[in-house]
Amino acid sequence: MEQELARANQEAVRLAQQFLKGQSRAFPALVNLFTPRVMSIIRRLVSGYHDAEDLHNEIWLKVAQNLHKYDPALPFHSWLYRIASNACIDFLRKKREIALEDEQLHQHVHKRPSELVKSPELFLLEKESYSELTALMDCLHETDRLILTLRFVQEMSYDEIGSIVGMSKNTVGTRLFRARKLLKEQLDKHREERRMSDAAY
Amino acid sequence: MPHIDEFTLMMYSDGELSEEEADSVQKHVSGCHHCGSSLERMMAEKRLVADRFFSDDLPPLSFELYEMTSAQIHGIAMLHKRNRRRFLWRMILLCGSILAVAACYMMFWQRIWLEWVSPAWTSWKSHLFWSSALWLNGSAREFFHVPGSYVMALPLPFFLLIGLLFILNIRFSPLPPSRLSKREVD
Repeated sequence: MEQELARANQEAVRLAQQFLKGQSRAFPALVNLFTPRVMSIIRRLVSGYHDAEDLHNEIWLKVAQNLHKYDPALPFHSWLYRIASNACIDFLRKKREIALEDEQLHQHVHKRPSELVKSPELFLLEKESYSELTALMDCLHETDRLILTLRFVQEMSYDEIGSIVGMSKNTVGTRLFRARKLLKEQLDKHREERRMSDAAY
Repeated sequence: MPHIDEFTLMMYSDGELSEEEADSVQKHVSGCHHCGSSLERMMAEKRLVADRFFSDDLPPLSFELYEMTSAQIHGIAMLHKRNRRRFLWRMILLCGSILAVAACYMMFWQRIWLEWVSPAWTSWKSHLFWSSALWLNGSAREFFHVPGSYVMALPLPFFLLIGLLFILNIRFSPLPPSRLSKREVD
């Protein structure tokens, strides 16, 4: 896998140089080369299909806008993952802020907790989730989700993850440890709930 | 002997410990039943999380970019092309100008420069640099006392400088305007 990645990085540098010379046809080749990897990060962090598609477009647009700042001496995938991670985290933060504002507005209007009534947006978001397991990951902080994704999907080392999220190796390890524990607890809780609901039928 | 904490075991199972640390953990785990079972549990949890949350069973998603995004990316590529060609064009102009100035110097101005600049340079070098301002204050009249026919040589450096600045800041280019500027005009 590492050899394949190294080859992809070499190819990416060549394509980036062609793009900077003005050959726009080099960019779709670059997109094809790294889209599966970028998509695997997006799909783990963002549950909505259309959100993921929008983010995918946004990330590649950012790549095109900042490609002249890329240093070919460094691996392309790390630079790309940093852009993708930042875009995903920004998106999740904005989404969380909107959800919080909706919640506050709802509470302000109804003067009671909104747990009993779901807002249309929340209902839609829940409906849009493609998997219950992915919904369990929502309990994690977005940076923890990103760290888990980079570790389990991209199989990156703590150092590489640290360079992308801007943390030390030990901090990455601590957050990974905590996130794994939390995810395991959530999974056990989810299983227990399902067992209880199945027993009720 | 104290047991190994879970965090260190996780780093060990992830292969993130140094060789020395990994060796000592391995030795301890092989001799300690408690830590051995902790490590097995840790590995099982890791597999569980990997299988449940990060297996490749996601629904497919289109890899195609939107038309709007593709158009924007094409526009960025065109801007790079335009900038690159503009840079090359300026370099060509600059080199051409340098060659033209060198040719003019060889053909017309060589005698003027040799008769005026060389004595001034020799005179300048004969004084220390730190005292040059004081020297220039007292000898400015002599320094600028040049033959009348060579007066045109005095503003020559300024003309050269202005010409250079003009070339570097030139907006004229034989390149066609980009699609983006066309769109802006429309």
